[in-house]
Amino acid sequence: MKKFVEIFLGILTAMGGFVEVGELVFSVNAGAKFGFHLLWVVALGTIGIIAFCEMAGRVAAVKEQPVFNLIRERAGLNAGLVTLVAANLVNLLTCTAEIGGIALLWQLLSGWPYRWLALLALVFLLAVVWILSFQWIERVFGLLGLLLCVYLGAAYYLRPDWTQVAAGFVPNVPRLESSSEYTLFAYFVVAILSSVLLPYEVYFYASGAIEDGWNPSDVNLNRIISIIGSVLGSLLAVALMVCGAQVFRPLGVEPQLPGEAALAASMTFGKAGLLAAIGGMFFAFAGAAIETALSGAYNLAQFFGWPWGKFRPARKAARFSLTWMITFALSALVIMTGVDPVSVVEYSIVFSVVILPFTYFPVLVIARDKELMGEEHANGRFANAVGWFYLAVITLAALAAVPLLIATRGGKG
Amino acid sequence: MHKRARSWSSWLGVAVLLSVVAAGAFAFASAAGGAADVESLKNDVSELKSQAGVGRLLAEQALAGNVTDTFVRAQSEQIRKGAEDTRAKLDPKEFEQSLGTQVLKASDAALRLEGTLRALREGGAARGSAESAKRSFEALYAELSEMEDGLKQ
Repeated sequence: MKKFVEIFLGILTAMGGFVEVGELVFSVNAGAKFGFHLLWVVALGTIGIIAFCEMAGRVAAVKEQPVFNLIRERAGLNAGLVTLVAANLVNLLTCTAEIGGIALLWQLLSGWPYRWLALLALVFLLAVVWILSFQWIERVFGLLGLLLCVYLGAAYYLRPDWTQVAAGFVPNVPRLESSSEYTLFAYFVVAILSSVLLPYEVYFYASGAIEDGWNPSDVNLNRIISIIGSVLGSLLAVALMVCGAQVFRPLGVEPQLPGEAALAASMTFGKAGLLAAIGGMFFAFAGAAIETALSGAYNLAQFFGWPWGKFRPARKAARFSLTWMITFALSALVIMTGVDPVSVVEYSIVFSVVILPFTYFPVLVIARDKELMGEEHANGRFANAVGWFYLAVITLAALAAVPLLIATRGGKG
Repeated sequence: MHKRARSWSSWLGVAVLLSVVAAGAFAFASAAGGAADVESLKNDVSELKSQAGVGRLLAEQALAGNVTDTFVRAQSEQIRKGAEDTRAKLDPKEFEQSLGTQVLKASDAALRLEGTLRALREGGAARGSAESAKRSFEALYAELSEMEDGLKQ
């Protein structure tokens, strides 16, 4: 039973990666713009995130080494430092967007002013991370984020053409009207791939494995958890895309706000659907905010060799605790200036792509090292082939991301 | 292995940096090139059309009793802020001179869209308010679709 509940580490990691505010709006928008033509990108990203989460979790279980230790060791101090700064900037941007997303959701339920709700969200997140243990954070936010399964039901009841949905999983490019639309399609491919492979998922997952006290006997559990969590997250992303294609595409609407995405659930299940969607989004956004703030603290502590972990009393990991608190506070401050959270996350998703290869290369290098991991736990041929393939894909995406962001005027076409 | 990893990281770092710098230079050159073009105007009109479409959906959901009164008020206000941001971009001085009339027309439609969203916020899920908002959103959506099609040609 104790082992079974650790499934929530995988679920929370995936929820925070696949259905955080940016990915949620991006997925619905992708369906509204391109129908089912981008489903293959979700599938491609899902296999990649399973492969790299599994490798990072295995290294954490066998060597008890989290990702940022590896990055510093393998990529060198300079490249490591650049990755650290970029990764923590992306964490901060994403955490900012999530706090904004929570405030928008609370506003839909209470009608209270947005800025006050952002402040309340800050107090809530600080209290939750301070009071709850890592395991209870996993369980509460992983389990209640499953309210988003309302979108699986909505996607089914909206009666899409399942043949077309299935065809969407085969890599394809639709016929579009102009070259600028093809560029926009390419931007969506890179952005969706990035949002599925967000680097903080791997930082959080590997550090979470150490928080949960994994050891070499947990290698199989790690495999199951990384598969179940990622597949669940990807199913939700697919359901959101189907809802976008079925509800918003025929209306010519490109949803930009979480509340707009919630309308797809209210159309099928009425007020209960609306409340389940808003509730699920809240736990997913809060989970992502916690994931990014803790990831920032894990990265910094692991890079500089500070004591870290929620399993330690706060005073024994003071710099680690202070870092996640500062991340929450800075994020809330940025949101209170009135910045649009969805625009923030769009930029954070694109800049995440740029640091993806720097994050995943050291993980691959160490996971395949037989001397370090031992014959039994090092990557086999299949894992190596998958790892190298994805490294090539994300390297191409990293090179294309910023030019595409600029060419599409921030994804507007 | 360490050496190979470090050299790979350095090469990739330089390549990514170059792509960012090139893209930045392109963006700077485009921005310095002058006024916003027809493509920018089409994007703004498309945003407004989308906001009118989602407003209509919200009004329909309110009429069907699928959403709460607080949700209707808060959501219409959130959409209104988006429409206000889009209208702020529709300054004729920022666009090519030949687009002046179309920019003003789009700005006027944005203003009416904001008015309808404000009325929906005031009326909430009440039947009369939702019905009247739905009709206005439909008219605005049709007008903006026509404008967008005109800009595509």
